[in-house]
Amino acid sequence: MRGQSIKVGDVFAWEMSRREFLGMGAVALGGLALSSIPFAPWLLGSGKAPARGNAHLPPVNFDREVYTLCEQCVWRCGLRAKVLNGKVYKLDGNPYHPHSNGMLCPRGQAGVATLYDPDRLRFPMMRAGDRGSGLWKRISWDDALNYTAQKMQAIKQQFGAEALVFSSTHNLAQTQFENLLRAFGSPNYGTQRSLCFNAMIIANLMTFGMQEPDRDYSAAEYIIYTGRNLAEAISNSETQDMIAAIARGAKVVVLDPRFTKSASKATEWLPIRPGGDLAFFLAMLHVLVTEELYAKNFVAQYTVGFDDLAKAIKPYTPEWAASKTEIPAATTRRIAREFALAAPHAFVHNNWRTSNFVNSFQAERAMAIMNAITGNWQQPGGLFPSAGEGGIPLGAPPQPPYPRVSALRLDGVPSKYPLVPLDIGVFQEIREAILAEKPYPAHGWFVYRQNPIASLPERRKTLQAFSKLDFVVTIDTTMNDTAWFSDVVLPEASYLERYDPLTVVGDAVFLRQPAVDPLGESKSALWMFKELGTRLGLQDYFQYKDDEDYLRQQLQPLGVTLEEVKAKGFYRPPAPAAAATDFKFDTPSGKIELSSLSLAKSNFPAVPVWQEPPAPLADQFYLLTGKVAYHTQFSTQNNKLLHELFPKNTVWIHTTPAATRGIKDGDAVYVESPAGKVKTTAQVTEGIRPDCVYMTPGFGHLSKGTRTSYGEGASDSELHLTFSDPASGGQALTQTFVKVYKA
Amino acid sequence: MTAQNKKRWGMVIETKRCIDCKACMIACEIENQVPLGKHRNWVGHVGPTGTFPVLGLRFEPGNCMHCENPPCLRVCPTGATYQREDGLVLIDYDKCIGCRYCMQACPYDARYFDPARGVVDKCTFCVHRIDAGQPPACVETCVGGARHYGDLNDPNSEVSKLLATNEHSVLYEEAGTEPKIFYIS
Amino acid sequence: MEQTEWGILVVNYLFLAGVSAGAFAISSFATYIGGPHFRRVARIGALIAPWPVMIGVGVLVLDLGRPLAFYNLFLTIQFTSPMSIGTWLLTGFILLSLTYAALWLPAPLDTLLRAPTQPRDLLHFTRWQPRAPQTIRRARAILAAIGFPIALGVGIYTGILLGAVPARPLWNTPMLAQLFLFSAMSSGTAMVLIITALLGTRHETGFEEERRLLISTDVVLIVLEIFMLIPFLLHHALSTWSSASSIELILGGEYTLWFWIGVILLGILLPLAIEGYELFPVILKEGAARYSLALSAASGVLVLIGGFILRFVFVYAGQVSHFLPVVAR
Ligand SMILES: Nc1nc2c(c(=O)[nH]1)N[C@H]1C(S)=C(S)[C@@H](COP(=O)(O)OP(=O)(O)OC[C@H]3O[C@@H](n4cnc5c(=O)[nH]c(N)nc54)[C@H](O)[C@@H]3O)O[C@H]1N2
Ligand SMILES: Nc1nc2c(c(=O)[nH]1)N[C@H]1C(S)=C(S)[C@@H](COP(=O)(O)OP(=O)(O)OC[C@H]3O[C@@H](n4cnc5c(=O)[nH]c(N)nc54)[C@H](O)[C@@H]3O)O[C@H]1N2
Ligand code: SF4
Ligand code: SF4
Ligand code: SF4
Ligand code: SF4
Ligand code: SF4
Ligand SMILES: [Mo]
Repeated sequence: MRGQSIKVGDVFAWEMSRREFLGMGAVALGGLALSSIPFAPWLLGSGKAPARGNAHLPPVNFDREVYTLCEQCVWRCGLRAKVLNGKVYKLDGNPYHPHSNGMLCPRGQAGVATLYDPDRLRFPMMRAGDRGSGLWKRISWDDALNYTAQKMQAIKQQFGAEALVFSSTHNLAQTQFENLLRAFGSPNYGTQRSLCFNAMIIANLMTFGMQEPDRDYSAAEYIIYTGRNLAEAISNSETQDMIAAIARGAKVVVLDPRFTKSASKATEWLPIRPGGDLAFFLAMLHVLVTEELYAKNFVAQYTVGFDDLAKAIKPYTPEWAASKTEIPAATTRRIAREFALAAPHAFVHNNWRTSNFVNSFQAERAMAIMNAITGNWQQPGGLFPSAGEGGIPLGAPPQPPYPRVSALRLDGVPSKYPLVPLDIGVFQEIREAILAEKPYPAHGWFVYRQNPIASLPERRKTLQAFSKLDFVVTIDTTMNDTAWFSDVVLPEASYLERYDPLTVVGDAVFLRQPAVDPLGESKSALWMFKELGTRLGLQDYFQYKDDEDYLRQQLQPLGVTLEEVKAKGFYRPPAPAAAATDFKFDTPSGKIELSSLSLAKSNFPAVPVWQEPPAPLADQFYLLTGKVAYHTQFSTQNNKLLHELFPKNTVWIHTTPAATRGIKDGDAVYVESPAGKVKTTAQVTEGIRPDCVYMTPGFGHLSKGTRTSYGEGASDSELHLTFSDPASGGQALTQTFVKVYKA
Repeated sequence: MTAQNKKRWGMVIETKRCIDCKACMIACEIENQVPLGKHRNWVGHVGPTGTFPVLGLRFEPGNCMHCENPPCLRVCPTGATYQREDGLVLIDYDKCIGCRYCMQACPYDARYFDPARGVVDKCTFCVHRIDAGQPPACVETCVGGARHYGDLNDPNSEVSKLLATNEHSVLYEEAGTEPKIFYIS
Repeated sequence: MEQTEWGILVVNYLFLAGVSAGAFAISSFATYIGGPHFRRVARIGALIAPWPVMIGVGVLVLDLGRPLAFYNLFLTIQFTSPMSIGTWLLTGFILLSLTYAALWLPAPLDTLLRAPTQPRDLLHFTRWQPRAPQTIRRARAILAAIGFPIALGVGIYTGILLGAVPARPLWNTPMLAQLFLFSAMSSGTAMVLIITALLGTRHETGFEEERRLLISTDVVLIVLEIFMLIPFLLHHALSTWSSASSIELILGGEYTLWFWIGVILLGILLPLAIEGYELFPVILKEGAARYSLALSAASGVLVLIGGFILRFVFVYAGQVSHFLPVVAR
């Protein structure tokens, strides 16, 4: 078979006919014959299991059950990998992990098909044609690492460390990736955060002095979601909590221009006008304050700036808001009163992907203040201080201090974005800077566990930015769009085949450990970073022999052995002495800041005020984006089982505008924005505002290296325009207006 | 076994808890090695019904109902389809000739033909798991907590309690199949 | 999940089994009336009977998911399963019709001695009417008697097989069995009609009687079919939601053209017209019938086509019909 003949040094085109790759399966890509996987018909597309009588039902006893962590999304549920004959047969939820409670969502369940995806990266590769030509050369790890290190050094020597951009999306080995870039000396680090939750995080920091308070669903009687779609944008445990609360009879209000599955579960769905959220909550505040429905004592004792707030929200009557939100004043008033009545056993959810409009930050502030003045802090069914990931102090390998970095950051933090913490940044601005070559040109990009070509708005711009760079290296598990346009691709062992640094969830530390051996030559990130560091002369920053040694050093202060932790995949240290009763807020005033000193200092309104968001023209629509339960972002579309559930996206359009455009359900249509134009299929529905259309992200892949998903659906990132909110740096993803017409 | 301590497996599905995530389908596909394109369980949907902004959407998960009075079994010419003492309707794959008559007889379209093995297959209630004291794969992973299973003969089982305290219904009652999946909406 | 698990092979099976049943029935019928006039019908019916059903069964076995496991059918008898009963019924019928056919074979010697000089001679044996030994004639009579109900059973069975599943509202009515029975009988008769027509031989004694028997039988059966179809359609249209919507497939759905053109026009109205035309004078008792071998052959072929399409329409449309409401999956 041609596949097996791919040796180090061989040049090959990734593209192969479906038959070919089904036939030889993963063999082509590193020596795993699919046929050798026991019972995996869903990988091959046909039953391979032998005709079995009842004597041969599926196995219930396995060689071992490995307790480890899911990585199909950033929620990282605990799971049990059931291993048979050296292969993972099935994944089940880990009952000991607070994120899974013994259950896995569809993406987590489908992990086996990610592990055995024929398109898994199995050995290091170097580009052997133009970027994106799909011509690759298999190279040895030594060559791959030496070449990468040498390229990095060259850039550093010629243009300075800052000319190399690093970026990655939240993951367990991220600390070591950041260790690498700090030791290397580049200030330019991009994470998904500004595409995701900057508005929320920074609003919470300004208000509570913490990134995201915890929520107590167990006793909540009233919950308001503003676009958080937990039924589809799944966060396993929280999705479970929401459903349990609804079943318990809690009242749930969902504000979303789209009739999501969460909306269908809610007691009340309010199809709010996009960008109107701020107006809605300003009006809510108006009602609470003017009708004196807020928690006076709590406000007096724990907050600052109430009077400024009261003054500021005077004009924002529900009647005023109605035109912005298209929610009747009476409804807004009623909900404000209902909420106040249920308080403190009620909360306004601060959402997650809050990257919608330039005013999303102010909206998030208003939501935080709604919670604050109804006094739900540390009340059953309210908000609680979150221990975050720093709950339990872990050990770390010794290392010298990092070199001082004097260069400006390409993303304009802090000069342009004074409120944005350095470790959060404004990702999309880095790309803009690469294109503008201001304040200085970048020359390389090191991508780890991220897919910026797909996830950044205005895909064309990202591709242009790539074409300006001398060197792009990507570490991934599959040939995603970003890897496809890279010069060197380093294969990480999948999450079921490797160790990662420990992670703290609540009052326990959890371990990711290998369930099976890595496919092909794929390696853990911990190994790669140490190897690269060493080749860059930075070995002092990577003082661990191997992955297990790193973990042992982390566990050292806990006085527990790695072997003990491996047994059930977690360790819960004896509860620390009860925390100080009087909680102190980490804000300048030490209290909840209804009026924020920090905002005032940076010349932003100290209390939320209305900011008119841009609106589409008569013949345009708001372009909504949002997750589906069956896929994660831009990465699971190639998973055969998930692909079967949801092979391609469509564009939702309301019945009326569809009719006026002569568009019928299933028609081919063009969706066009100033940034680009895509062809897709219309899904005519009543379940969306007539002034909005919706596309599921993650489709329209450019990489022919993801053969299951290639050519399926269309990319909304192709259409999105780039707008960063000056306060939080959050990218405004709903602020793109499109035309839709028959193809 | 006396009637009392004889098991009678059944499921209860709380449709209001189902979020249509289909984790149950993926779990089943892997657990039972269901061929790509075939399914032992499903999540049906009704809607969105109504007109903007007054809309409804309902999800209806299902799988083989393990009917008390199974038409699939009745028509099976070889006796491959049989009913266990505990009421589970199963298939002896060695006896099955793949005539697909049972597929015509099942009102719930719960069966599928496995081309590779040449036999008809369907939900086994994860008999291998429950016989080992484990929950069915779809029930274990149900994110919404909509799927429940248990012994209908045991008044203290989760399913019995749910049925005792909630209004419930079955699908196609008129078919006289006496299905053992009960729906609470 | 819309399923048409049963395809054209099953259609063939139902059709061919019907033809055999019909051929046997008309043969034993003819045997009973007896006399030299009808011997040719009896013989041809008998000689035809075993083969279509055997082909049909062969085809069905090939359609199984595990053809080699077909023997499992014979390791048991499932009284609630029409297919199991049918298996044994067909086995019995095939064995019986084979024996019966053998009894109707001309004395082999005779055919061998007669060296064929021209093609038509090959068919000589059909004109050959020996006074077969008492024993043989008695045996024929007995098998005809036993076989007749079994043949009817086979005809009915093809309908019961489908009718026995409540999950398919279009099938799930007793009328389907009768409909298939009459269609089977007329298909068998049509087959004999065609063969006799091909063999021609106008100057045969009793030719008139033979034509009248065949054609009028066929007319009667077709008329009976019509009388089954009308109530069948009405019953469904006026019955439950599921039932009514299932008949929509035929009255105003994907299978409408097939049904009205294939079944009603080609399979029923045209043959009826032709045969009516042939018999008209006789019916009105004015002058001789206008028997035309060409016309007979044509009407016979049309009946067969109609019979095939009838089963095609029902097998396919039936599998699309469901209990309602069906929740989208
Ligand atoms: N149009 C549009 N754009 C969006 C969003 C949207 O809804 N619509 N959402 C925004 C949000 S909320 C976010 S968080 C960002 C996410 O933006 P990204 O993080 O860039 O997108 P992902 O698809 O999550 O990228 C994860 C990458 O990691 C790879 N990967 C998975 N597992 C592993 C592993 O174990 N090791 C390694 N090395 N790689 C792995 C996957 O193959 C994938 O390529 O996108 C933002 N952009
Ligand atoms: N299945 C699945 N689950 C996931 C993920 C995944 O990729 N797949 N990703 C995870 C990640 S990284 C994140 S950040 C979260 C994101 O989860 P969510 O915070 O729920 O974000 P989205 O699903 O991207 O978008 C939610 C809704 O925002 C609505 N929306 C758009 N504009 C506006 C507006 O102006 N106002 C209001 N009120 N609503 C608006 C959209 O219609 C959409 O339904 O999900 C996490 N969980
Ligand atoms: S939510 Fe789903 S995908 Fe994300 S970690 Fe948990 S199981 Fe895995
Ligand atoms: S897993 Fe549970 S919640 Fe998800 S679709 Fe299935 S039944 Fe519904
Ligand atoms: S649901 Fe269908 S397959 Fe299951 S027992 Fe009932 S009739 Fe048989
Ligand atoms: S396909 Fe198998 S189980 Fe179904 S009826 Fe035929 S023999 Fe019985
Ligand atoms: S019980 Fe088992 S076989 Fe049946 S649907 Fe659930 S997972 Fe599939
Ligand atoms: Mo995110």
